[in-house]
Amino acid sequence: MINAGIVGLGWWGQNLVNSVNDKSESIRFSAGAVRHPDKVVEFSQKNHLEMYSSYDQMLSEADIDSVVLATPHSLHAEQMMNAISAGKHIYCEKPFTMNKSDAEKVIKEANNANLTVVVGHNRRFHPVMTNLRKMLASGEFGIPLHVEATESVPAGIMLPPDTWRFDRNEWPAGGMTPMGIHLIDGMIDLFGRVKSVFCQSVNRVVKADIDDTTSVLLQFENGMTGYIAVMVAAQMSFRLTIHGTDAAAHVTQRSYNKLQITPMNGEIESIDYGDFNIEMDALNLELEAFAAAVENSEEYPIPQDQIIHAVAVLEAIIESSKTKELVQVS
Amino acid sequence: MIKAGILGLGWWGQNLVRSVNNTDASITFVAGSVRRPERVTQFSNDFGLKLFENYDEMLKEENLQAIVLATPHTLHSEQIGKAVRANKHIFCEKPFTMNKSECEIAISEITEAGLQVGVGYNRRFHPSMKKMRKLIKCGKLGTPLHVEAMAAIPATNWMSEDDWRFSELEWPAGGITPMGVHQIDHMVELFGEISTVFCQSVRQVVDQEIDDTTVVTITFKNGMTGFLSTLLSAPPDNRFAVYGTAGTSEIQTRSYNKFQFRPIKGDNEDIDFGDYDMDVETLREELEAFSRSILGQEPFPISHDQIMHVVSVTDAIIESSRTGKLINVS
Repeated sequence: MINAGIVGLGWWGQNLVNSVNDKSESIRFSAGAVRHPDKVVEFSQKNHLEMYSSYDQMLSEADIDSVVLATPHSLHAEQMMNAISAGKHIYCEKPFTMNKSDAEKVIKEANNANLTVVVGHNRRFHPVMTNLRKMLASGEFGIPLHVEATESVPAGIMLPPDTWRFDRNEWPAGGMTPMGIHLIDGMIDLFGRVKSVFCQSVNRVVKADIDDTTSVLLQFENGMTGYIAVMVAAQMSFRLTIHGTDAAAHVTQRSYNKLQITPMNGEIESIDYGDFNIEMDALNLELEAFAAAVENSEEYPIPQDQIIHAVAVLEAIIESSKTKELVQVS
Repeated sequence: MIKAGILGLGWWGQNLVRSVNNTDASITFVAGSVRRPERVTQFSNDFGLKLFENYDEMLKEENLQAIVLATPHTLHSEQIGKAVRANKHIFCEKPFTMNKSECEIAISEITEAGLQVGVGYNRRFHPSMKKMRKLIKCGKLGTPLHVEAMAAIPATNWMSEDDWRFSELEWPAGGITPMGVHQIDHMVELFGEISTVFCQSVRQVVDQEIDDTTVVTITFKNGMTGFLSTLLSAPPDNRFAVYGTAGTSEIQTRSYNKFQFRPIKGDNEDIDFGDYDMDVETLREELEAFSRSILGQEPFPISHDQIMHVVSVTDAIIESSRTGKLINVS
């Protein structure tokens, strides 16, 4: 059993704890660090978390072998370096870091210290992604030509304007860091490395210094084209579409639970993943995969070079959003 | 009753004739000009067309008030000029002309001669599009943020290898001139002028000298952003989606017959237009709108400025596909 300490107990941090405590036999949270422990007294007692108001104190005093970071994006790199110094394995929420050099540095240090470090791209663990991966490998789509993904949430309309998220340092290209990174990771998973990106990112309506509408063209090393759009001031929506020479696939619903396959010839096929919960169920699978990697029993499904590449693509998108030019992914 | 002559009686030209002849429409075709009349003898008998081997000869027919062009894209501009000199009103299939200067000359000649001009953006007349227009006009989508469009056909399966369409002159940026212009027209109609485009157009699988995958990002003068993709070697599909601050609305499938509205507040709306046949019914509507403009009853719903702007945008997309640069639409 892996004992983990969580850093950050906001909405997502609580999801992480709930997905394994009293459920998993390989990992559980036993400690937590937040700036204001008084705000989460009920939650921490219910989940038997030993609470700290300082991350450093948790690292030095708590009886844990791993830390899980569910903290503002811009803090990840430094918090991971602290964990490595304290000899803790790390699970870090996406985005892993805000730039490629930080990602490389963290991974190098963790490897040197013989510690496991992984990123939380929970959506990879949805069975629809496993299915798409298999279908692509078996040639069911023919040659994949193009992939599109769009995700929107009304955060910019619903969240209070003073949330930590509404800051250009946290969300430098609108919804790319909170949502788009999942779409980037999904595309890298299915189609490999991205060669270049072109991004246009604008503020249309949100009364905070962030972009609310962001869209990106991608070119893959395999010759395919791609497109990602994220909006933070629109109705909730999600779609992922793969266009191949022999078939198209459409994943719809924010739950990822509906897949439609449109073959060139023949009947449209619909697959429903029922009540698979992309938050709770996927987080449980993901944290258990992390535990297995820490125990050296199984490799984490996201290889380190893909963790770094997703950050490199994100960094290139942020740069393109500023320069309004095509940017080659380093 | 407006009497028209048609130039070109291929698949689409025949659709145009079928949509109005032998019905109570206010316009009817009485003449046709094709290079090889013997190929369409049966068709012209069925629909009462007097056939000409030569366009100039048909233009001499005094009982013709209007000419309808369903010919290869690159011929439009010269054929429009001849119709103007013969004092005929002109309905031209899309794309109107291949570049802005040709378009300006054609429009100014038509205007000086006091003639009417229609362009075949038939999809504007689809009930899904009417519904979308109304939602936007009534403010049901709130402030529109972003628009996404895609069109896919397996052109290389559907057409013979020597089809005139398979040429970089006719289809200089893959599916943009045959399909994408419809969606550019929708965007221009609904959201006004486009200020910049950035296009990536690649050939991945087809044998012909055309691009099979083309993607474009767009910014509008009003601050909105947009995206358009076309595929020429994939299962048939169409999508036109508008994301606004109060809701999202989407037209789906190649027939345009599926319509979706997802408001942030209130009930979702799904409309299925069943077996509405866009390739016949919208043609009749557009030709009747053209005839009403000739009869002085109502201006054609697509203004001269819009016709010219769609050509300018198409021009800019083609230029961007060649230069790899962001292009300001002139």
